[in-house]
Amino acid sequence: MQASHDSPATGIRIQVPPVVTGAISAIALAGALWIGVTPTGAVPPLGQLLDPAHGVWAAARSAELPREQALTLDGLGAPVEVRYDDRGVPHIFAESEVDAVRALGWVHARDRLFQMELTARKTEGTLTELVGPSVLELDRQSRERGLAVAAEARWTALPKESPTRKIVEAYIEGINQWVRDADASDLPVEYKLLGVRPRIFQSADSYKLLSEMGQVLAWQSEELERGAIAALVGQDATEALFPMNAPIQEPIEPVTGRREPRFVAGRFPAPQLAGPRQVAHAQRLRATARQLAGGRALGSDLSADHSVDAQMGAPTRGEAVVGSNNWAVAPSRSASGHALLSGDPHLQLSLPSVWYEAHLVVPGKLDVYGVTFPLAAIVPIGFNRDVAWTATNTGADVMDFYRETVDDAASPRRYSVDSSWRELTLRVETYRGRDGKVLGVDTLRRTHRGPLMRTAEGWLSMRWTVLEPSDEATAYWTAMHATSAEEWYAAMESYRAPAQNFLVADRSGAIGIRSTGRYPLRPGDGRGDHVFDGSTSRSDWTGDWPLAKYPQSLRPAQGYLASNNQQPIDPAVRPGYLGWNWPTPWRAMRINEILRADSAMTPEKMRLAQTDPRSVLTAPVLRVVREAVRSAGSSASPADSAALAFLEAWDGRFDLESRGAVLFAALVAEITGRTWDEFVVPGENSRAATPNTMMLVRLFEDATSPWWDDRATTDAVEHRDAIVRAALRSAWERTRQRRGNDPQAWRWGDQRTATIRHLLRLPGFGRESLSVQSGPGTLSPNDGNGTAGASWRFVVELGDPVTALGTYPGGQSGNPVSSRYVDRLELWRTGALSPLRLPRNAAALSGGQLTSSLRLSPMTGAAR
Amino acid sequence: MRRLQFLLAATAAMATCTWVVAWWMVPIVAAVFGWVRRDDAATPLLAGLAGFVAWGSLLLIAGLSGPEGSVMNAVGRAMQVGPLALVGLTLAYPALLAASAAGVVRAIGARRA
Repeated sequence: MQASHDSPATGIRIQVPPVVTGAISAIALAGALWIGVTPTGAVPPLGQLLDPAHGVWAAARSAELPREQALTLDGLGAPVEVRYDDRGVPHIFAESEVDAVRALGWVHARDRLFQMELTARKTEGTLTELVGPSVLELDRQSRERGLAVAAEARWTALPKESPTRKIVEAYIEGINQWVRDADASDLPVEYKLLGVRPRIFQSADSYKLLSEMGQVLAWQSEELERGAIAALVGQDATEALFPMNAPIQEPIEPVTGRREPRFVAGRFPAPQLAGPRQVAHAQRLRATARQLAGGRALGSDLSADHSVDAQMGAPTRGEAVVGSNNWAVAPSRSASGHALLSGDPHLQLSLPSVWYEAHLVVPGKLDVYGVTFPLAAIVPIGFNRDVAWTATNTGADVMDFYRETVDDAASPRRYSVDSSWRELTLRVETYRGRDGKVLGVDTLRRTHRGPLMRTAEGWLSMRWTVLEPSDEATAYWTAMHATSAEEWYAAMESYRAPAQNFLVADRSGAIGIRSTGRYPLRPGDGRGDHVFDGSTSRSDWTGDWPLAKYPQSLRPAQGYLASNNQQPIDPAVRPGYLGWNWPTPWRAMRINEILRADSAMTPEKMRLAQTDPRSVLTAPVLRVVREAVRSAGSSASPADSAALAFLEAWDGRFDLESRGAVLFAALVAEITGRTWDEFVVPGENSRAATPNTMMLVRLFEDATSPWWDDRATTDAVEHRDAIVRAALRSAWERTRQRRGNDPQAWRWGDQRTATIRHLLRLPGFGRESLSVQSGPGTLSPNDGNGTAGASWRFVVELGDPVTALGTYPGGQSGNPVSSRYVDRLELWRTGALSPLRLPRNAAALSGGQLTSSLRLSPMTGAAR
Repeated sequence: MRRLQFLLAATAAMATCTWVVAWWMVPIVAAVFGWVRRDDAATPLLAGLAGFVAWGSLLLIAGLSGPEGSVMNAVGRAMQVGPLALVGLTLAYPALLAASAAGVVRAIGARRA
């Protein structure tokens, strides 16, 4: 037989020999099969990817929860009922706590499996095995920091009979059972896009998550940056502009009798002129600082207070762009006569969200509701029937660096302490790709202090509380059972890292706050803002702060408490080094202003305060602008007068429709850029650091300070008013260029938007350009590109019964095509909250509030 | 008429086998049908069409019960190929597998004959 084709034009019959058609078909088939089973670069095997029954298309089938489902779960002692409410929150009713967390593990896996694997791998530095060689440097950094090693040591140190061990093991087994039972169509779409299968989790993975949160919240490698600043502008100026203590004190621990912030006045010493040697030193220190701080991305990032300056890309020290808030009022200051608590932790935003809401009920033992981390069986922020709790980051300095003397600069094996050599602990780390091939091998070193790293500044070792022995899981788990604020704090006494400002309210009316964590005591002046000499043991930590010295307050006379990452204790009341990079106090001042003014707070007022559009920063800036323009008299330009009139007409609110906010933000950026030119590193065209707006406001009081002088003009010495007028003029012109000549058409909501990226930064799975109510110094700050913000907002009223409102950006499902993936996003964007369902038993959730029922039964002998 | 019957049978077999087993059943089913109808020069073309229709049907069926449109948009963007290209790829791939498998088998059958 011959393959034949008729040509209609000629009538000639063309015959193709079968061997030719067979060969062409064979080549095509081989090619199709090859791309079907083999990954090509970043493209996974196409066969399983495109398979409409089991590949990416199957994401649609598993997008929604089944109305009813019954399954068996190995290891259960008794049946567990899981009821999903209309917000997609699972309410887990079990007869024992171990069963409850086993079910929670299963539920977490169903909704967030990929996120859990990514978190575990990020911490342990095995992302290359999931994502490929593009993340090798991130893996290297993770392993160098040793977070996973520390987590495994903590897990191993947990006694065999510890209840926490049983809880964690049951939770992880719940996850693994879902993984084992899942077929290809059930797997999260990310696995299909990467062409990999999920891992089987280990119990220590849960502790890795907690270590990772420690890294997110307590990485404070700023000693080298501080050194670079000092090299550029001198030690005195550094001490003044980046001080140990904030010059505006509105501390977390209330000061008895004080009803307003305390301001510290004073002139800033003049900057020194850096010579070539100091500049070179600054550049080297900056390079090392970048090396130590780099690579935090992939999903989560800093929670406390770093920003990118809009103009020059320089970090603004302590300018709050990622700012967590919490506050509580006692019954004496609430309309209902019950204590109220508001939680508003800010983090780098991601889809799916860092949080997963859940409710665990074990009659007579546990009834806890809140947000959980997928990969941990704890509720770090939430409430039970008696107590509510939340946290902001303390931002304490809990990390130090030591310049070590080693025996071989290229490949050291020993280091010197007190003139004698000590052996380094060596560990060989192998990095593998998705196919198991070795991508790299490193030898990592540790001193008795911690990881040893090679930098441009030589070999530096690091000591960090996050790597030290502790057991946060047990502390949280015990605290979840507390029936009073006192019990809650007692349970958390063993909590070490990351240090958090834990705010608690209970049904008896008590409110309290304690900045909880391990705060190291250092030798000498006690400060940890510099690199220590590693060659002497006299540089080592000498102990820890005693609990009694922690910043704290219980049942304060003022009837309210608040924390916003600010310096926790006023040093005039109780001195002591906790850190130096304190954020601006604007959020703290604003919330205290609100709470002082209102003795009849309600949950609705608490909710409104979370996205309050006012900023304490506006008043001092506008006052100085007014003075600057008026001081020019008739010589003020028409642009100066027009811009000032425009700002004077503004109501000071950073809401979406605001026009004045657009000019104000541009003005602050202009003043900042023109004022702090001394920090520009010669040859780098960027600032080594930028003092925050707290320092700018303080500088406003010294109109002839040398810091106002523009270094670019050698024939003139500028003072405050000239700089402010020039900044105003430039802001006005540049805003008109960018936003249009008609200022009435400017809109703040077009400029300040949120961007929430997927964990892998996949373009179709994130959400962009979400208009949010936010502004500099407001309670809901964000950065220019809006990738950080409120990760969970909630308000609890500690009445009988307890009631609560809440939401977070995203949704419960990690499946990008599920209706539960971003169903809360619009609520979050507009600052709204949903009532939280709090059924006491499974039957109490019914009708429209019930969307899915899952019954998990113990596996019988036959089924095993 | 026979070709239509062949097309329908092959489509049903490919769809069912994909659903129950996996994607790689498509070339196996196509090979079987290619052998059965090795005397028809149009068999590879019909097998390819059957693969196209089989997976297209599965997409349609899944679309009735889930947000296929969302998958198309989200995954298409995530893969940086665009929504329509993702659909096109999903339909073209089984067509290629089936046509080439049927073509190979038919060529072998032709040599034996």
